[in-house]
Amino acid sequence: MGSGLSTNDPTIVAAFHRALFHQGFVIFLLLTLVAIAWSFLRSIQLRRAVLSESGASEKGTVTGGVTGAVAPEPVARRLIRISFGLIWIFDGILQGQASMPLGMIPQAVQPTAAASPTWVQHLVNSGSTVWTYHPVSMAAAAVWIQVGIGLWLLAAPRGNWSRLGGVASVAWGLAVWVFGESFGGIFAPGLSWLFGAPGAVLFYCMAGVLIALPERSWLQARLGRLILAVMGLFFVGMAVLQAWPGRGFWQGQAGRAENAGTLTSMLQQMAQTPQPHLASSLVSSFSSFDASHGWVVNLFAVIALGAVGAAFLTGRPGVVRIGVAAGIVLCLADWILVEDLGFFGGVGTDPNSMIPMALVFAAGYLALVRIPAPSTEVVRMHVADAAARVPWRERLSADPAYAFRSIAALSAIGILLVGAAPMAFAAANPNADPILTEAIDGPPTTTDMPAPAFDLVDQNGRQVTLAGLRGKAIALTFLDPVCTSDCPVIAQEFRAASKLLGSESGHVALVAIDANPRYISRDFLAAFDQQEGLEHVANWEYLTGSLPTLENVWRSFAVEVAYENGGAMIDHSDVVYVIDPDGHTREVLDADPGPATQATGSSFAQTLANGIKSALHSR
Amino acid sequence: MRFALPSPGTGFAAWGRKATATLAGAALIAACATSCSKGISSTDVASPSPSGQDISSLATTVATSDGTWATVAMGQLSQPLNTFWQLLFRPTGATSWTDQVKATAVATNGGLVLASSQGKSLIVGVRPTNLLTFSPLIDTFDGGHTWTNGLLPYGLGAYPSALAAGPSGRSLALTDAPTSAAGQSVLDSEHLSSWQTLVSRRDLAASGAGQACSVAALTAVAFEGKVPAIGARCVHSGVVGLLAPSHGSWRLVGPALPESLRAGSVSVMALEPTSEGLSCLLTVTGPFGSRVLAAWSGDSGQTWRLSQPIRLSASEAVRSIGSVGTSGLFVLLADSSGPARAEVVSGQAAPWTALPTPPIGTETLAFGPGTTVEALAVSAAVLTVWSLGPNSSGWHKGQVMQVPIDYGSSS
Repeated sequence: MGSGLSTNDPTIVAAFHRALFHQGFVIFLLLTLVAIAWSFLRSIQLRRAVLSESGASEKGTVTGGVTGAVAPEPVARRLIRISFGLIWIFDGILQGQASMPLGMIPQAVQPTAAASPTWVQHLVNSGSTVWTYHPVSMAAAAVWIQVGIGLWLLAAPRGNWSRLGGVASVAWGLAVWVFGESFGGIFAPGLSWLFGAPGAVLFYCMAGVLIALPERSWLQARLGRLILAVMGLFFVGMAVLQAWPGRGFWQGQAGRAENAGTLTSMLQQMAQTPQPHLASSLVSSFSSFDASHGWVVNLFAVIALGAVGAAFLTGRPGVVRIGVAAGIVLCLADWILVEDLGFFGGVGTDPNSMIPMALVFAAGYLALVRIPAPSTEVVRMHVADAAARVPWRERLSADPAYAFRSIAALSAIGILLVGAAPMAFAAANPNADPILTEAIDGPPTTTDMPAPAFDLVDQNGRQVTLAGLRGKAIALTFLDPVCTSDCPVIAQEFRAASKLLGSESGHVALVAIDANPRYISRDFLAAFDQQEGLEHVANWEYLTGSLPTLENVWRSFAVEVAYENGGAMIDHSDVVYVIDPDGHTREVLDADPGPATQATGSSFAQTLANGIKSALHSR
Repeated sequence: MRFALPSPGTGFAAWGRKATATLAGAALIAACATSCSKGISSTDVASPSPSGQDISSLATTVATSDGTWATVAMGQLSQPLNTFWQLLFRPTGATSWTDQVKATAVATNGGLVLASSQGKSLIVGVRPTNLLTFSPLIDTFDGGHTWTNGLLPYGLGAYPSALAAGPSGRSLALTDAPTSAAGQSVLDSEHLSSWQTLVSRRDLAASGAGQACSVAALTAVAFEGKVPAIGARCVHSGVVGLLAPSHGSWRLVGPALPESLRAGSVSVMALEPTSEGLSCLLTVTGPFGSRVLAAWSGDSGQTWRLSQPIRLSASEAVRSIGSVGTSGLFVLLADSSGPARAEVVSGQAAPWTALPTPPIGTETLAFGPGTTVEALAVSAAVLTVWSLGPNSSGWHKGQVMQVPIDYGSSS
């Protein structure tokens, strides 16, 4: 087999950038339409405002009252909404890194899943499979979905549109938490607050829940106390976990030859991640410090986590304020020294958990101490609204703020859908994209030349000639019956391609010609067919002949076959010829299976099926 | 904008109750988290499945009338797909070895099994590896000038005596369990094609003789004259699992162990036909540790003579075994630091003779005309041949061969 795809494969990266550009263009058109619609709405609103100068309708007073006397958004809510809106956008931009399509799964998702129980691995694998089958569309989708959510939170500050944005944040966050973070690694060993337990995106979900709450929830201290109680319990729980013996956190590294403790080992790995020198030197220094003083570092972590948690649990503003300040310092320190800022290495998807966590408990503090006082005007606003029940069309044309929120939210939803729709189509398509094959083998070579004739016998002793296959499209390749790597893979790809052709497979011949000069008897073809489960595939022909005859066929198809030294298998070209029913070669494909994964096999089968269909209909 | 302040503190008693409750809750969360991360993960994390049989003991030499053949593993021995077994040949009268592995025309990562029919021919079985599940066979009657091939439709077992060539072109092959539909089996053929199942491990274990042995695995095949013989690893102590067909069933035909070894379980490591019957190498493992001993049959298997046992230390394992002359045997033992010692027995009633400690990297020994002995030592892709002359107490470095290994070609 050939080498695997590098995460920065130029074909995939180019296709990824093309997809982002095309989708970006669609978004540009969308925003242009939105701008036009907004301009149209504004003109209606201005005309109405002019008409209503002389006398206001009852509804206009109410809406005018709403406009004039609406209380500002609670500070805590605004902090959560704007900060997480920006973080989602930042995460979306990170998803646009060149190595995301091919690197996301093996470098970001699978390592976390690998340490988790089998059932988690199976669940994560179901999502990973979709990504590996459609790396370009999935990676592009992730960009726009996250950018869309972020813009939604920013653009829709109040009302149902804003709350819906919170719901979208929760939904996508949960999907990422399960399929991307393997439930935040909570089922894997080594769970620790220091490493980001219980998963960064869970705090995004918390923020989404808070944003989705009715605004009246923010008008009392109870919400703030609840947020702080939850975070307090979490911090104290993490302190207990950190203190738990036997998990390797109490040890550093006694000597170079000794096993490193859990934290020291993680820091040593993090220092190797490609990143700016300053960041890696900080992490390296801390790693050395922890190696020498592991016990002290862990003791500090336990006490700090416990103290911060206890401060939150008191619910007393003065104490909580100290806890928040200490918590922010602790989070920042961990973010820099342990989590290594989270987004380096080429497949960093987010700034990790410390920033979102700090924002949540800071918002809890603000929700505790900075509550908007209820005013009689606001009360009248609510009563008036309830009584009026202004239709949304009327509000659109009469209330500029509402109109802007609605249009902005719809634009953000549009951006989100630009990502979500391709993702949904990809998830529904069980066949991998041909782009994977193109990355490994290059695009097929199209041609229109008479195919070389051959006269051989198949695995059952029947004579098979090119002329005898006239009227059928032919996929023809060269397989070594005792090959240990490529040829079994190519045979399975042929079989998969035939299945993709459905009813048309009856008009297709799958032909393999023996490519091993030592093992040319039909026994070997039959053994290979049995090994690959091909003995009952109706349109499969495995052909052989005398050695001189085979050598002629190899030559005429420009296939090189050579003995190798040192115990290696026979070296032969991996190539597929697609021949039309008139006997003309229409495509020549490089059949190197590359890493021979399920995704690459499916991709090649799709590419081959496309070529065969094209040859079938070329008459 | 006025901000409402939270109501004054609720009192220490109430605060205390709340604090206790929340601390208990936090402890519960942490305990659950620890259980999740330790308890579940310790049992549910999928661990890689163990690798297949150990094929390192396949290194051996076989003497034929045209010369001596040898097989050794070379390359990056810690990586199965970058380990390539070579087929080496030293023609009679020649002083240097050549590499004939090209003749196999297949990747040799799974190992090679050699067999000879009365010294007149060489059969090479290529063990399956990676995506290949059956075993190609090649044979030569003229020292490798021409080759014919055969096909074993299942994977050859990883035992030095997994292949046997008998009279009139008849062959026996011991197959691996995973690739054979019937499980581990012995197959019988004429001229390396049209294989038929002689007996499966399951059927052999169900026979009376098999039950007396409690067959754990089949380990060797040979012909005693025209009669197939099958070696096995027995669970029952003190029973030598050497079986031959008898009246539609099977019977135990192996030697009786000395009293001192009857508490151990026996495995037949190798079987070689001799002019008088069979020679076999046995390992016996019991409370006394591990022993290796040779046995020779005579009078068509009616009588047996046993050698003195060789005691193995706790760290020693058999690295290579093979035949010497017409009825002799050699054993190369190794521990984690390399080859430890080589023992040779020239035939029945002869004592074991320890050779000088073989050079580092010795994979097998070759016995030439007279008393010449060669040690074939491997370091990655370099083969070094050391020779031990008559009456010599040391090894002398001779031929050095660089083998062109195509790393990565099998993956």
